[in-house]
Amino acid sequence: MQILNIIAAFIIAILSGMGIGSGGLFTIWLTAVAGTTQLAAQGLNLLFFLFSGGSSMAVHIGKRKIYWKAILILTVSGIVGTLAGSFVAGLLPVGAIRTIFGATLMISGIASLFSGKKRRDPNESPQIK
Amino acid sequence: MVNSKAPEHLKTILKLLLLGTAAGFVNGLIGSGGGILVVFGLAPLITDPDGKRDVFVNALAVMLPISLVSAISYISTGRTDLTGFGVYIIPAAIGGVIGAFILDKINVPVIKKLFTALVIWSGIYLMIRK
Repeated sequence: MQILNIIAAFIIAILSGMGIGSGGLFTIWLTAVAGTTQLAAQGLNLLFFLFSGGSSMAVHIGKRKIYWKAILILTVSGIVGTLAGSFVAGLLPVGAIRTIFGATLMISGIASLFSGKKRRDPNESPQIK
Repeated sequence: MVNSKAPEHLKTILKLLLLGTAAGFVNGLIGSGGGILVVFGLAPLITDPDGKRDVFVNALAVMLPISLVSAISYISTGRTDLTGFGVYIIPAAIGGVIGAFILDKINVPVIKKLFTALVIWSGIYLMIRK
C-alpha cells in the first residue's frame, strides 16, 4: 500500500513541478485512499506542494525568465489575501462558495476549449517586465 | 516632465495587487484554486511569444510563499498532523524536478490542454467536495 502512495505522490509531483498545479489530486488521494481527514489532507497537500514546487523552481530559476518585481507584488498581496481568506472561512458558508467557484472554473475551462485562438499584439499593454 | 508610461505602469501594479489578493483569498478560503487564478491573470501580462512557459513558472514562484503561509497556519492551528508525511518528501522533490524538465520538452499547446483539463477537473472537484 505504501508503495502505491509513493507512486501516486510521485506522479502528482510531476504535474505540480510543471507549474500547472495538481488540482487537489494529492488531497483526494490522501482522503480517498490513505484515509486522511479532509482538513488534515489539505494541509499536507500544501506541504507537499512546497517540496514538489520548490524542487521544480530550483530547476526553473536558472532557465526561465522570472519577473521578480511582479512576483513580489503578487506574493505580498497574496499573503494578505490568504490571511483574509482564512479568517473569512470561519465566518461564511464555505461549501456554497466552493461550489460557485468550482462551477466558474469548470465553465471557464470548458469555454476555453471551444474558444478560437486570438493572437495578441506583443506591443499591447499592459505587460510586465 | 511627466512620464507618459507612468499611468500604464500603475495600472499593471494595481492589476497585480488585485490578482495576488484574489488568488491568496481563494486559497485561504477554500484551500485551493489560487494558482489557477494566477495563471489566468498572468497570461495576458506576459506577452513575450517565447514566454508562454514562463507564465506557469512565475505562477509557481508566487504560489510557493503563499502556500508556505497557509501550511504554517494549518500546522500551527493543529488542523494538520505531520505523522507519516516523511515518505512523501522524496517522491515530491524528485517528481517536481522531473516536472520542471518535462515543461521544457513538451509543446505549449499540450501544456495548455493539460492546464485546461486541470481547470475543469478542479472545478468538478470543488463542486463535489464535502
